[in-house]
Amino acid sequence: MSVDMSVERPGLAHRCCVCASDDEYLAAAVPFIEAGLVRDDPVLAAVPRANTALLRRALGARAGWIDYTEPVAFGHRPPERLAALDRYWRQNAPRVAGGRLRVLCEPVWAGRSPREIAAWTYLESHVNVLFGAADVSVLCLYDTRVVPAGIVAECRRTHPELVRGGRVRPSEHYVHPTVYSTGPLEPGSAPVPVDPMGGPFTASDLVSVRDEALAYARRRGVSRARALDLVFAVNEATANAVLHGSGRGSVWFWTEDDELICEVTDDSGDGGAAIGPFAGCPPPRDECGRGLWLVRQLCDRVHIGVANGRTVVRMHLAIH
Amino acid sequence: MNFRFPERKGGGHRYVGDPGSGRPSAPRPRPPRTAARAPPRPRCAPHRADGTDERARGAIGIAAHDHHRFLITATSTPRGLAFTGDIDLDTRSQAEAALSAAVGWEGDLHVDLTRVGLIDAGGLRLLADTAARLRFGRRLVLRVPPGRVRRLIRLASVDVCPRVQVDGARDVR
Repeated sequence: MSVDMSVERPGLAHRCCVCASDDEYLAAAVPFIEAGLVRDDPVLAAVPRANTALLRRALGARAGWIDYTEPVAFGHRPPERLAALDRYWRQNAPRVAGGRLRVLCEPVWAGRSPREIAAWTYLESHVNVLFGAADVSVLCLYDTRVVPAGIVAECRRTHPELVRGGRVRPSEHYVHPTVYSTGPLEPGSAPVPVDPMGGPFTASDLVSVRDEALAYARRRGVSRARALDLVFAVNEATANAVLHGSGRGSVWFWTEDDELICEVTDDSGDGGAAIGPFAGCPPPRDECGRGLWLVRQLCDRVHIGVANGRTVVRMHLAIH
Repeated sequence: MNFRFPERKGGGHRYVGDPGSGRPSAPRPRPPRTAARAPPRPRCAPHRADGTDERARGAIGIAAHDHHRFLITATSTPRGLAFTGDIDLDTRSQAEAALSAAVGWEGDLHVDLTRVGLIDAGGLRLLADTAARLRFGRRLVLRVPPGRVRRLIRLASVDVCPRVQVDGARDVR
C-alpha cells in the first residue's frame, strides 16, 4: 500500500529514500522540494556540497528559492543537529497557516567512529518522538554508493515511511524509538569504577564542584574550552539535584578509554520532571528541562535515567 | 602522584577537594554567607537624565562567593547593568532583583556580560524573561563578546527571543 509523495498528514513526516544513482537521488529530492515551493513552505537542503550542485542544476531557475547548508554546519553532533533544526523551525516556521517546514537531509557517515554512527542512528530514531507533533517534513537520503550497507539497513528501522519512485509506503521494519533505544546499537553505560574521584555535595558545594570539574578535566588533557563546557554541564546537573532532590547528591568523575565521564546522582527519583531517555531532549519552549537540554548540547553523550530510586545523569566528554 | 580517592560506598562525607593539589581532602573554608552578602535589594547608582553619572559604574550588589566575586554595577552610557562573576543558583536572585528594578528604566536596557564567567540555564532564562517584561518598543541589548557566554546564549536561543539584541553579534543570526 503506497501513496503519492505529496500526501502528508499533520505532524512530522519523517521519510527515507535509499538511492543508488544521481537519477534516483533527484527523483526523490526534486518532487520533495517542488512540493514545498508550490506551497511557499520554507525548504532547507542539508546535503553535501557535491549534491548541492546536483540539486541546483536540476532545479534550474528555482535553485535560489530554497536554503542550503552543509550537513556539518547544520549540527556537528546529534544534539546540535536537533538545536539547528529547532532554530531553523523557529526562524522560518509557518509562513502560511497549515504550512510545513521541509528539510532535505543527507546524513554524513564517512569518517565517523562506531560510537558516532550509533549516536546519529539514534537521532534518526529519536526525531520521530522529539518532533512528532511538529509540522515538519524530513526526507533523508541514503546513497548506497557512499553509505555502508549496515547503516542503510538501520534506516528502515528508524524511518516510519520509505520513498521509492515518487511513492511512499510504510516501512515494515520500523521500530518505535522507545523500543529502538534498547536495540543492538544501545551505547550502554559501563558501571562506575571502584575508585572514582568525587563525593557527596550539598547546595553550598556547587562552586567547589565546578572548580573540581575544571581542574580534573584539565589534568586529564581536556582542552580548556571543553573543560568549561563540562563545568556548565556539571553545574546544571548538580543544581538540579539540589533544586529537585532533597538538596544533596553525589558527583563522580572518572575516565574510560578516551572519554571523561561525570555522573551526578540525587534522590529525587522520577517524582519530578519526566526522567528517561528523552529527558531534556525536545528543544524546550518552556522553563522545564532547559538545563538538561543545554547539558545535552554541551556533552558528547548524556544518559539520564533512574536507578534504585535515584536520578542518574551521566555525562561523557571525549578527550582529544 | 599520591591521590586518595574517596570510596563510593562510604557515604556521609562531604564533597572532596582536589586530589591533584596534594592537600588533604577536606571542605574548603568559606566566608559566612549572610554576612558577606550585599544589601538584599540592589539600589541604582545616581543617574541624571542627561546621561552623565556621578559614579559611572557604581556597585549595587556584591556577593562574596567563595573566591569568585559576583558584582552588579549600574552603567550610565548606555544605561544598564554590568555583571561580573558567575550567574548561578547562588547569585541568580540578586541578578533577578537588579534586572527587575532595571525593567522600569527608560529606553533600551543594556546588559553587559563581558565579565561573566559562567551563566547557568536559570540565568539564561532570566535574560529571556527580562526581555519579555520590557514595555513595548524597548529592547534588551546584551553586550557579549564572542566566547562561552555568547555560545550559551545562542544554544539557549535567548538571542532569537523577541526584543533581545546581541551586540556585535556577527555570528548570531
